[in-house]
Amino acid sequence: MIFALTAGAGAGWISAVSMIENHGLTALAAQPLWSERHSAASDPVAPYVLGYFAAQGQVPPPGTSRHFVRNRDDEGNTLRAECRYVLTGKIPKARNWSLNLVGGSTYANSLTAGQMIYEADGSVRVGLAPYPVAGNRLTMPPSGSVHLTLTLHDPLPLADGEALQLPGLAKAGC
Amino acid sequence: MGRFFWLLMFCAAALATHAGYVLFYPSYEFDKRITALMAPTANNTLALLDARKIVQLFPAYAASDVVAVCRYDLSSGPVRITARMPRGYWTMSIYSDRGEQVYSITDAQAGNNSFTVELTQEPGLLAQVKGILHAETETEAIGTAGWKVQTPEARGLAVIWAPVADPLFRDAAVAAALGSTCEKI
Repeated sequence: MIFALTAGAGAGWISAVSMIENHGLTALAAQPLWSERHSAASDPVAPYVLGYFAAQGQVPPPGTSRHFVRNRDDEGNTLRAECRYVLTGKIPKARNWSLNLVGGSTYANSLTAGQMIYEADGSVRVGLAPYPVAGNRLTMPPSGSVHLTLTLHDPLPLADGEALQLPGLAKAGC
Repeated sequence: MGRFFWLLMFCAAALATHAGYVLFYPSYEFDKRITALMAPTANNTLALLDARKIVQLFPAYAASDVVAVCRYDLSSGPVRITARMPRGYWTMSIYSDRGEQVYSITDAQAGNNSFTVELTQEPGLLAQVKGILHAETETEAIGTAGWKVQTPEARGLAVIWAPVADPLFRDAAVAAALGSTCEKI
C-alpha cells in the first residue's frame, strides 16, 4: 500500500515538473537551437505554460511579446560561463526588443534595441564574454549555467511564407 | 483483483500529486518571491523597482528599463490605478496572483499617456446568481472615466513597463512612472 502510494506520488511529481518545464517550449523549425517560450493564458495547457514562470517566481512576458531562449551555441554545445561567444545576425522587426544573458536566478546582463550599435546592414554583432571585448558586449556570469533570451516586444507580422530568423551564436574561444 | 487495486492506488496518488503540484506549487513560489521582493505593507502602492528586482522578476525586461509594480489586493474593495506614462513605447499589464495576464494595454492602444484603470474582482458564482435574480431592480453603474477591469482573483500585480531607449530620457521616464498612483478606492 505504502509502496504504491509513494511510487504514484513520485511519478506524479516527476511528470508535473517535466511538463511544466517542457510544455509551452517550441523549437523554431528553421533554427531548433532557439526555442520560443509561450506565456498565453489562452493556451490549452495554460497551467503548465504559466506554471513555468510562476514556479521560478517570475512574471511572464506580456501577451504582446514573443520570448525566445537558447542555452547552446551553433555547434550544439552547452554555453559555458568561462567561454567567449559571438552573436551575429538580424533581429526581427519589433517595436522594441531586449537580449538578456542569464545565469542562475539573480544574474542577468541586458542589451536593448536602443542600446545596440548596429552593423551597416542593420544586423547586430554582440560579444558574450567574461572580460571586456570591443563593440556590443554581454558579460558572462562568474560561473554556473548560462542561457540567452531574446524578447521581441510587439513584433511586426511576418510576410506570407517568411520564416522567423534569429541571430546565430558561435563559440569564439575558451 | 489485487494487482488492479494497487494499480488504481498508484494512479490515484500520481494524479493527485500531479494536479496538486501543477495547480498550487507555482502559485506558492510566485507569491513567495513577490512577498520577498516587495515590502509586506506595500499592497495597493506603486513601487519603482531597482535593476536587481527587475532581473529577478521579469525575464523579458532589461535591467535598464523603468518598471513600476503595484501589488493590488481587492479583498477590501476596488483599486484605482492612475497612470502617467512617459512618451514613447510602454505597456501596462495586470496579472493575477498565479501569474496569469488578465489585461494589457500599450501606448498605441491607449492613444493617451494618462489614463485610469479601476480593478474589481469578478463576482463569485453565488454573487452572479444573486445578480441575475436582482438584475431588474438594480441600477446599472456606468463608469465615468477610464477602463474597468475584473480580475479572477483578489490579489495580483499591476505592472507598468517603459523601456528606456536612451539613458538621457531615463529621468523623464522615471518621473512619469512616479507620477502614477495605485490606491484603494
